[in-house]
Amino acid sequence: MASEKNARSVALDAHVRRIDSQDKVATGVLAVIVGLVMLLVVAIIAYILVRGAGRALTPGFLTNPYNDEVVPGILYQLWDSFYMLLVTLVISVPISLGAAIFLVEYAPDNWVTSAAKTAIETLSSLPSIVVGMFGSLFFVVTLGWGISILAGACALTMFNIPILVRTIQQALEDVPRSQRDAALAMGLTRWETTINVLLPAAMPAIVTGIVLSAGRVFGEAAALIFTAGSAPARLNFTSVNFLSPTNPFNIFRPACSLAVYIWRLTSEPTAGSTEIVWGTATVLLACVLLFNLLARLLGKLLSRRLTAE
Amino acid sequence: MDATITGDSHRSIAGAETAITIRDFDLWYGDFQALKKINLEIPRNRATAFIGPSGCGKSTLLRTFNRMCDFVESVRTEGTIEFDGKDIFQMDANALRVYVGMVFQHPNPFPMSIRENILYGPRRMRRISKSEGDEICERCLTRAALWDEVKDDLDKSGLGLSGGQQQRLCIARALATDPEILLMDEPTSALDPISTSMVEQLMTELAEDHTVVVVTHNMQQATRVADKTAFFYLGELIEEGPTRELFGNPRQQRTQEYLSGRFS
Repeated sequence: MASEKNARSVALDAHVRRIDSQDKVATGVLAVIVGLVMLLVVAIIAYILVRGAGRALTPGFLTNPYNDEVVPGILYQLWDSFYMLLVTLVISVPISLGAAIFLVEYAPDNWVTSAAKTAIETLSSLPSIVVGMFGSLFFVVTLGWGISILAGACALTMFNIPILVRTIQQALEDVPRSQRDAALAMGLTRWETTINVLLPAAMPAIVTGIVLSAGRVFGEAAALIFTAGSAPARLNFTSVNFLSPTNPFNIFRPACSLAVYIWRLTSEPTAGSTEIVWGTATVLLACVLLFNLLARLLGKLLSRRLTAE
Repeated sequence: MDATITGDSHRSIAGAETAITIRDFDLWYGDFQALKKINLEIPRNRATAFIGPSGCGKSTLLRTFNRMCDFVESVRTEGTIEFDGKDIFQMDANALRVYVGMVFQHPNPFPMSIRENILYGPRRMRRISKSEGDEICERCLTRAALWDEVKDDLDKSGLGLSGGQQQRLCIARALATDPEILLMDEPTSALDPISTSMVEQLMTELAEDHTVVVVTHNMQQATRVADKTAFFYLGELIEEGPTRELFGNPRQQRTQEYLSGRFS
């Protein structure tokens, strides 16, 4: 009897030791994997900073045109990147909002809806070079917009819509059931509920999503090469002729974003262009990090305003 | 047995007019019959409590009064529910919901300021001037016993209040459209004891000039606030009557068993 009890406790001890060591091994392996990922990110950022920070911080690099003889800068590319991003958001945010609201609040649960959802998901996995080719055939040639900011923004919109629709959908779905109940019990129509209750409640998450997507769009190159062009534009910031190819606000002129500029200088190097490439890469990286930071900050700020103010 | 009558605030329901009349009412969710041949009269300007174990149909019936059940797919009803002699299923649902306010288990102020929460309902019906808006805010918040706590913060978000305050804000919001009927679906089950007693006090006061119907899991709450109580079990109305009688001298075996805690 006693030996039987003893055998059981020995077996139990062995079992505990076994699962204990399994747990330790698993924790160790997972920690190493996470460590490697972090190391990779840190290494890439550090490498780019080491190569490019000097140039990026050189006075004039951010404020000179690319053809400045002393310090060739990236002013035009910086402007074009932000301007194209703005145009992209102006097009894609309303469309995505509408699509997400429809899918969450209105769409009946049938095959058309599920086909639409699949289509949106597929759009997000299209290779960017393919979207660029489509953009160049459709927006540039068929619609006759030429190589232009508008064509580039439309190509970027095609990337942006699936991300935005997904985030906005999620944000709307996360609004608590009780809030909908309140609206329904007061006899609000679906539209009133959406505009006055759901959107305000979801706003922090929506804004965060928009800014994060902006960070992604900001660094896109392949889709822009055939649609917005890769030749650095010559801009005249004093121009008031909005149809002039040198007017910075003209959406029908070609433009070259930071990412495309990096691609161009790398594929057609000139004297001293390596330096500029690393400088530009540093600025691009800083911008994207800034977008991420801004997204968190805005989200926190908005949700605090929602609950306190 | 802990569900004894404590106070003596109960008012007679004998002399009260009938606000809601339910006749031979059945309700199905798909194939499941959630309410079976309900016949019940809800007295005007009194508090009526629906009690019974989970899944007995008490919340379903409450949500039928403002046709919240319309939003559930596969719902089918038979029989009639009349509100002032009018069949609610013939009325415009949104118009009905103006006369029937509702307060939920979880406080759910809109994501806007306290003032906007109160004025949202009235503003949907007509233009509200600044001074009229101030008047409505003060009246409804006072009635909901919240005015003193928030009068200096009317432009702050309603979501920044504590749970108990939020629930009183929701009551004030419901009052702002001047409803004749107030439905309360377990309004205190997410609140702390102090907030609970404030909301119970409010229910008693509001029942002086509103028809209040409250669903509760808490039998003591029914004895404290309700003039009339109806006991539901498995979709059937087992027993109904003045709260004092139902708790003091239940006629049905199952009512006795439920009240004495033999099942819940």
